[in-house]
Amino acid sequence: MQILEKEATRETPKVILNTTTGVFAIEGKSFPENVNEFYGDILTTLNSYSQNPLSKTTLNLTWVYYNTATSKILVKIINVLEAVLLQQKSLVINWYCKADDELMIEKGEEFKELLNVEFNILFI
Amino acid sequence: MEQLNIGFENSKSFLSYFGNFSDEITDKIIGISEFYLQQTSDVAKLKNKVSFLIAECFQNIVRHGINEESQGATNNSDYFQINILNDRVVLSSCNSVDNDLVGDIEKKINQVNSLNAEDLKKLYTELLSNGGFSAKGGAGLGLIEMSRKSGLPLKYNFIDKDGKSCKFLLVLEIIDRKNDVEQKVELDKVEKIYRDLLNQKSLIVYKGDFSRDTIIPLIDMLQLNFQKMKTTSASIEKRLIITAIESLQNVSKHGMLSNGVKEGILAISKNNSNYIIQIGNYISDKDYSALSNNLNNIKKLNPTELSSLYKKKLLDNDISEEGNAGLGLLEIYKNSNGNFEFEFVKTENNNYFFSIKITL
Repeated sequence: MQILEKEATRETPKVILNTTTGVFAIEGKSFPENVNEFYGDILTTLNSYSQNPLSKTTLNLTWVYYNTATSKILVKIINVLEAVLLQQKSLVINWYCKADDELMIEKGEEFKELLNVEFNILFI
Repeated sequence: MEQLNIGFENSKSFLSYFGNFSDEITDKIIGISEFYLQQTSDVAKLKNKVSFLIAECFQNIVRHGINEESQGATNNSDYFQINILNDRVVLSSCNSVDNDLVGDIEKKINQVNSLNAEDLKKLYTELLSNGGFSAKGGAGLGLIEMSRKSGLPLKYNFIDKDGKSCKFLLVLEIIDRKNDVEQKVELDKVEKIYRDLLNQKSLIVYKGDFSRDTIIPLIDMLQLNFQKMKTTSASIEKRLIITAIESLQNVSKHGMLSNGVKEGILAISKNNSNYIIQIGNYISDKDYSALSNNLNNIKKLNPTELSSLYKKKLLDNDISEEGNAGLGLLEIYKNSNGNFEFEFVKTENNNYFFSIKITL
């Protein structure tokens, strides 16, 4: 699979995973009742990509808001992508939010502190 | 929390709403009511009528109402309620109107109330062909359709009159004509509920099933209302939405099934600069101890301990098959800075009614 694409719904985000460019994007709201159902194939795709990654992998995240179950899935997603670092490849996570969106800045900072990856909080 | 249920003890489901009245909000309310009605066999056949009449009530508010926002008022008192009872559905709306319109509205309602079904149909056809539109775009057709579809006379009152305007309270009872033609709803009780909710600075009260199909439109409604009110900062709005999602999904996932539904009550109000979210639902006796201990332990945490526990849980990779993350209550605590109270009341069948009041 080269591209996994999901359109946004009222409770799930838009997702584009392009394994040929190594650029992955998740954008919108995320509060599915069962995160495993929505994010299952996303994790599988990223896991498979991480076995043989490109020299640079980028994960762009632009959240409106999300539930706590999504935040734990996000940790899983990043953990899966961290495998590229063991192969001496680069991983960049860009966390996009508005400059006045205190909550999403706070959430981004929390991830930045907890995760040992290049993590940029960028204002849009 | 129990006081929220006063006046609605006999309701199978109800939704009271104060705020902005747009087509988008109408769609969400219709979505919630249709979902409930199609599962409730006794009143399921009323579904189409109810949806039609909700849209008609909203148009009535938009068409004849005075937009309080544009006049600088911060507390919008425009109101809509759907109350689903065993054998009927009651729709109530209350909105400000110019005193100049009172006579005309009263005349039209009295006219439709005095006509039988056949005469109403005749009047409807006549108005349609003559195009007797009022200055505000209504043709009087709305009231005729309300009366025709509800099957019972329209009840109304004009309250809180001042020099310029008053509030137009309208109540529709929707019945299945084959079963019953008796009018049961008392106007003064509807008015009392409206006043009580207005005094509590209520934004929304919902009693009913807390499944995914109702949670999504409820969240959409809250978001739309906050956006339109423009009195809430984007950051507070998000904290409110996230807290509401966590609380609602908590009921959806852990609430006790009763008659096939996970029944609960949600109430959101605004008190000065604070928002108050209250949620109540039934939990089983076996879940009581764990939840009670968990909440008591969270309450004891200082901010540093909370932050450390939150981060630990975030990283523990522990998500159940059902998608439960075990972080919801901590998120609620974080967002409210610890401003939450909870209560467990034992029920007759040895289960518990659990309620939580969160201040943001």
